[in-house]
Amino acid sequence: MRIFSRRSRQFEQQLEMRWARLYRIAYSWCHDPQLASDLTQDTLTKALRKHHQLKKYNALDAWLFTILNNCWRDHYRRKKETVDIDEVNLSPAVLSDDENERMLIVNYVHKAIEKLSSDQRQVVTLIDLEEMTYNEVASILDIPIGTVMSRLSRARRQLKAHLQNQNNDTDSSSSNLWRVK
Amino acid sequence: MKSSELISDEQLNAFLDNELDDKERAHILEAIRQDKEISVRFCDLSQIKNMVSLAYKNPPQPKQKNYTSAAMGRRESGLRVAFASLALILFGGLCGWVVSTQLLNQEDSTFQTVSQIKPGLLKSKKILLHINSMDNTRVQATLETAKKLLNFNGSNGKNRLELEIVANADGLGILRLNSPYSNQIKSLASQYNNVTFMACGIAKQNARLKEGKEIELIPEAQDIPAALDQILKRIKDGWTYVRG
Repeated sequence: MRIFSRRSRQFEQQLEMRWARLYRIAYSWCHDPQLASDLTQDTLTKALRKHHQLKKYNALDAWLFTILNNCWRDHYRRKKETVDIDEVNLSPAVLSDDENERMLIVNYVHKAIEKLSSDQRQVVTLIDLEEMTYNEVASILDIPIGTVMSRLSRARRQLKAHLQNQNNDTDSSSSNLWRVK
Repeated sequence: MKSSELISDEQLNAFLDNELDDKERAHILEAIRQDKEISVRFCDLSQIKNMVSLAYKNPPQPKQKNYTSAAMGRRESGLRVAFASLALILFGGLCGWVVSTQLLNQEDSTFQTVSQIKPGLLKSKKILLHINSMDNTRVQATLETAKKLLNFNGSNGKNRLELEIVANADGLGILRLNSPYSNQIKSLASQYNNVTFMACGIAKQNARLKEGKEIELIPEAQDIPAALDQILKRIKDGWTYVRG
């Protein structure tokens, strides 16, 4: 039985409610507000067009993130000849002339995320931001659950290394704070 | 082979992300309790997870929104608090890779499950109960354990207990206004002045994003920026961690 038998206002409202979550994940993948907005819009447009494919309401979230993943892949597939998805220089959108200390710290983490491969970035953000299960992530990204686990493991290991390095590079004067072993 | 090498990062991640069944969880908990090196690795992973969550709490918005959304229009009123907490975590977190090496040097810093708790045998007077699920069995076990501990130790005197009940992920539901457990919680809070109920800010933010509305909590709930941060802080301070 179809949950949304027609393009109802109710369905549009359900999509609208998910804008912020989809945008947040899209942003965590590309670090470009406008691109993240475009990806989110593409996702919602496709969802509206393909609403008849959604069989269970409780699968809506996973379905939307699957579409978002496809949009993200399509975006770079179109640029495949010139750009490798893992070599994209993600723009540090939080940096500005009047950047304050708090934004700098957020930027530390964003920079560390940027250094991950796109595959790792997708896994870690879906799990840490959306609190998805490994099974859900495996389904959305169409990969085995073992791959989810190994990518997550490598991602967190690399994040740790990147953050430690950034802390070392940025403020050597505070190094005594974390040399108290 | 060292015992720490027998527990992989994949296993620790699965424990952290609540992907294990009770038997596997107990196995990892015991390994964390017994082996300092494993506890350090676990603390590191927890910090990373926290930092990623907080770093994207309020992503920059596009100049032009191309889809109307009520949820998008709401700005986080606690922005300053969020960033301050992130700063604290990052500062403490990066330091934490060192600090955490000392976590389990203290005798009372133990990890247990609610089923293992025996009030009469517990030496620690500082206990953190962690609940991340709305599974009725687990919630009831957690609240029952809290009640037993408070009853046994009392609110005053030399046996006075300090008890924190920290709720995150789905477990945040126990502290919501419409919680089926609100009466039990209110009863505990009114009867004892040494129990605190804490609501994870990240879980609250996620719930707000999912539901598109502000999340209302019962008056007894105290907001904290991040549950994992609170847990690590308490473990570092020598508290006993009990998984609900």
